[in-house]
Amino acid sequence: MRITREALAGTLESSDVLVRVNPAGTLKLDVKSSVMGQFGDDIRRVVTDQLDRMGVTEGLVAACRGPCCAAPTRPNPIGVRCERAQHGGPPT
Amino acid sequence: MTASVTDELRSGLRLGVLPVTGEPARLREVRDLLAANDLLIDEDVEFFVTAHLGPELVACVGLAGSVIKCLSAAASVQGQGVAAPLMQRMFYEAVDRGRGTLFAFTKPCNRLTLESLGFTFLAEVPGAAVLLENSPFALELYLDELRALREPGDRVGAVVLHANPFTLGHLHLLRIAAKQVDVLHVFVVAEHAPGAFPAEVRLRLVREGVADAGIANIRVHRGSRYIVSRATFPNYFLAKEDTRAQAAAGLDLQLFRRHIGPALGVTDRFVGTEPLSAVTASYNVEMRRWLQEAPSDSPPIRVHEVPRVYLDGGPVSASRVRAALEAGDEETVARLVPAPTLAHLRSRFVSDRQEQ
Repeated sequence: MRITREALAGTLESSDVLVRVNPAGTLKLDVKSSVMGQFGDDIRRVVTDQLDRMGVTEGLVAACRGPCCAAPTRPNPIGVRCERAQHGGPPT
Repeated sequence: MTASVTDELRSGLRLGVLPVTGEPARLREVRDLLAANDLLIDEDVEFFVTAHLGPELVACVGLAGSVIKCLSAAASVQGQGVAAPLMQRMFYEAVDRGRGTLFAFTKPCNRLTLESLGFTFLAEVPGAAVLLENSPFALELYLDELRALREPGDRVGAVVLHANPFTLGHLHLLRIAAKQVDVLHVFVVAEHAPGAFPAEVRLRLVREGVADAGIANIRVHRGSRYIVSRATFPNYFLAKEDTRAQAAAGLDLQLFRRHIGPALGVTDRFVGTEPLSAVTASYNVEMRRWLQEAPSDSPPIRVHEVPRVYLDGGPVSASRVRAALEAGDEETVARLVPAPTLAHLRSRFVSDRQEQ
């Protein structure tokens, strides 16, 4: 599957992730997080697994986990975000 | 999306969108907040995302084309995570308008905050301005395109032209520059300025003019958002002269020295002397400073200022051509431009006459 249009999903709130996708001839993934040292690998793996599940082979995927702030934590929504970004969905 | 749309956040922060054509009272609030941070509303800003806490405007950020600017927060909320919801809302507003990949032009003190929100650093003029981009891929992909255009040579030259339109003055500059290098890369500014010849026309006339002159070692390329664009050099397009012109030119030139130049192997950059426009003249001074003299991890790029050619006591310039066009003085135009430019302009003269 190819990413065919620019789209955005998710939030920069704590424990969430903002995913931006763009069309491209290759598949590139970038993960940014203020907690990269602790969770960078985990976030990357969740995003990679989700892209694999969806069969995405071409496109740019940038995931940014927002800076930590005092807000209630939520179940890990990264997979959901990736899926919504691909379909251009609004933030949930 | 209307100006009245707001989101109630957990923190009590109210986000909204305010077009610059919006209510004067609300714009005054924005103006006051910017003034408290020594900023003005740039004339190219289209709308602001605003954040209120109770009745007070505590933060705002503007969008001009694909450039986020005028980011400002009240002292009372600084360091309290207001930037994340503000910027997130701006990302959605921009993507709704078909602009996903955005630059941020702001004060250096905002750099770390923006990096924590997913921005990638591009360039900084210490104490003045910093330029970032919200894509970790965009610049690198562009540099890959440039690397594919690289050609061997000990001396590789570069010229950036607006060419509005391409004149005998530009051609003179390219001819002098091409003689001194193995290959000369010419970038034609891609950004469209109001009232200017369209980018496609400017690019075509440079290509045709160079081909017509038979200069074999010149490669003409379309510019990009990283070369004299609204983001890298906003003052060029705002046509105003203030202290930030220098800062903005420094951003553009550092991008050239660190990224664009090395991608193509550029050793020398050429520019015409600028007797008439203060903005361009200051850009030339800054060019020598940032490309050649300033300390940098990237090798210096030699800057050559090539004297303008004069005709009838004045420099041959695109602005002179435009003035002659305006006055309907076809004879003067014909003496200032190469044949392909003249052919294009003649077709305009003809269609103007037909309209009359």
